[in-house]
Amino acid sequence: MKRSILLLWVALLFSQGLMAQENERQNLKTGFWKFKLGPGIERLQDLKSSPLKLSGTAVPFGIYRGRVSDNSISSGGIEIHSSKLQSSNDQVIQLSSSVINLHFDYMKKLPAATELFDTWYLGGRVDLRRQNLENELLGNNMVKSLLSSSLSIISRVERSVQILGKSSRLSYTLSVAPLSFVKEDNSFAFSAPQGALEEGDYNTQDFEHGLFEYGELTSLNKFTRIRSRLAIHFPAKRRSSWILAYEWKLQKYTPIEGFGQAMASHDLSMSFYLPKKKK
Amino acid sequence: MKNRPIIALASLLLLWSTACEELAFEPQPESTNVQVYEEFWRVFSEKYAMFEAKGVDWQNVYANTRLQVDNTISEDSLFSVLSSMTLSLSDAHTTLINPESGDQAFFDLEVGFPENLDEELISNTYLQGNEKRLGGFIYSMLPGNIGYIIFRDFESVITDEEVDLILTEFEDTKGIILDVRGNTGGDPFGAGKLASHFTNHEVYAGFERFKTGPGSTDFSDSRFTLEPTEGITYTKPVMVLTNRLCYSATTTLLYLMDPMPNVTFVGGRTGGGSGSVADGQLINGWYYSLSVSEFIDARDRHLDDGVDPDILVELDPSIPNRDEIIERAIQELN
Repeated sequence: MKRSILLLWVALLFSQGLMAQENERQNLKTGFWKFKLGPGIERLQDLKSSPLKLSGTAVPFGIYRGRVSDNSISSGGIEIHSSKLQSSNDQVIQLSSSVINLHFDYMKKLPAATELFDTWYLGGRVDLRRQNLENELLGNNMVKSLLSSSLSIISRVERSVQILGKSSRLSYTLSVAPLSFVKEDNSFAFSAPQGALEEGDYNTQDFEHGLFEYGELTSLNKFTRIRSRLAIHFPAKRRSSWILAYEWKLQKYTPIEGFGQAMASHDLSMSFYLPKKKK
Repeated sequence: MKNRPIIALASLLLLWSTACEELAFEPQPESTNVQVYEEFWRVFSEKYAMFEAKGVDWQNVYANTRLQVDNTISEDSLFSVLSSMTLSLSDAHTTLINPESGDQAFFDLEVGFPENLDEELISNTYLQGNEKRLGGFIYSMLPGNIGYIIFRDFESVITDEEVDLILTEFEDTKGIILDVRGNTGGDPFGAGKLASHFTNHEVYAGFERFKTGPGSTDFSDSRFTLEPTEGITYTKPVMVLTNRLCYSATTTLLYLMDPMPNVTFVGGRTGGGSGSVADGQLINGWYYSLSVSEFIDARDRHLDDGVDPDILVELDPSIPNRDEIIERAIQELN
């Protein structure tokens, strides 16, 4: 059963990518590269470990490659976050957090315009995210890892605005993940996956678990991932642009009622959008 | 002014995201004495796996200690109350440490038990400088064609190649003495690896009962059947020497070897420590560790407080140059 769910998941991810490529072939398109860097704030509360809220500064970094056509946008990228988190009460708990995220978006332009926005896109996003939290003080459960892959609905609206007398583009993107595959390396109390213990598979001779083994397919009741991004595109030379963006991300995973792990980040970033030649 | 609706919308989005975030995060308790006490009691109530086996009523512990704590008592007094709760479990895997003051609370499993180990005596009388060392192993031939292996620490990494090499040397012996006295544990996977060399068929060892949720009945059992190694196996008689400091990963080794018909345990009562351990920090930064599982062996024994060996023998310090436990093992092999 679990294997079938995993296969279905992989099939969904591939079909999303293939559909996007097929649609792209039918349109004129412009390729682009985008590089992102900027300061951020990360917050964490992991109730399986402590009720304390931890926070710290981060320097998120991202590289993206994509294509824009007359009626669609597709892009993929990699983002890396790393930060030192500490509790506010005399910093009694300190963690190192590192997150790596791979994603692919495909959005189709919809024939809808309002007074507020002149362009509206709707589509999907698939991502794969690995998060490690490390507390050097703990000898028995020093590292806690969470692997997740989500299928999100993504929507983006745009409009032209005048900023400092220059014509710029304002965009707002929101994505929400209704379906996710999640695998946590730690169970309720021990450093082995919950599924391995519930299935009675743990032993101290040859117990190992694959990257996706003992993961679960979840929905919004157990796993929430929301991403919201407000950006202003300032035109630069040769159709390139600078993008100033504020991005807010929230993820909450509650494998056991009352013992959720919430992680939020607020990033202010500057990106450079570099279009490639038009085909 | 044309941008006013946009600014209003951006502000609305900011408010919305802040509200969502606050909903996702739970309120944080203040780091007062009472909150630290309550968290400590709750963490153990939810995660500690052996209240029943230890005969400890944690609710009763709360009733007896809660009134000793208020927000006016000193940090030392709070530590003293939590220490008494920690020690009530008689579990050496369960500890409490204040990293700032260095204060520690842990159960001393040696109290009331003889040491049953004299390294100098072993070196002078039985090894006599003829021993070989390989990884964490010390080994030597004893008179009467008996192999003698000492392994004192499961923190040392064990490889199958090391064990193969030693067992190949002892291939023609009539028996082996495996001395794990004083071995307080380390990596339990090392125990699995070592034990797998003393059988050539599958061995059902028992099951590990893990705490898998906060409720008092939230447990899951993992049954453990040891597979023989693909390397060298030794199935002639093996005498495993024990004392009170055989703890944690060494208890893993003992329960894995206990069902093997060629294995006999000789020495003092073991220390136990059958559970897997987790650790964490309280809201004031104090470090704790606790047992989140318990192992019940193939004979249905709860092992955490230690068990008596098959042949109970104590060291007699009044007789020089003689280790009664080794002597009894030699006698059994002869």
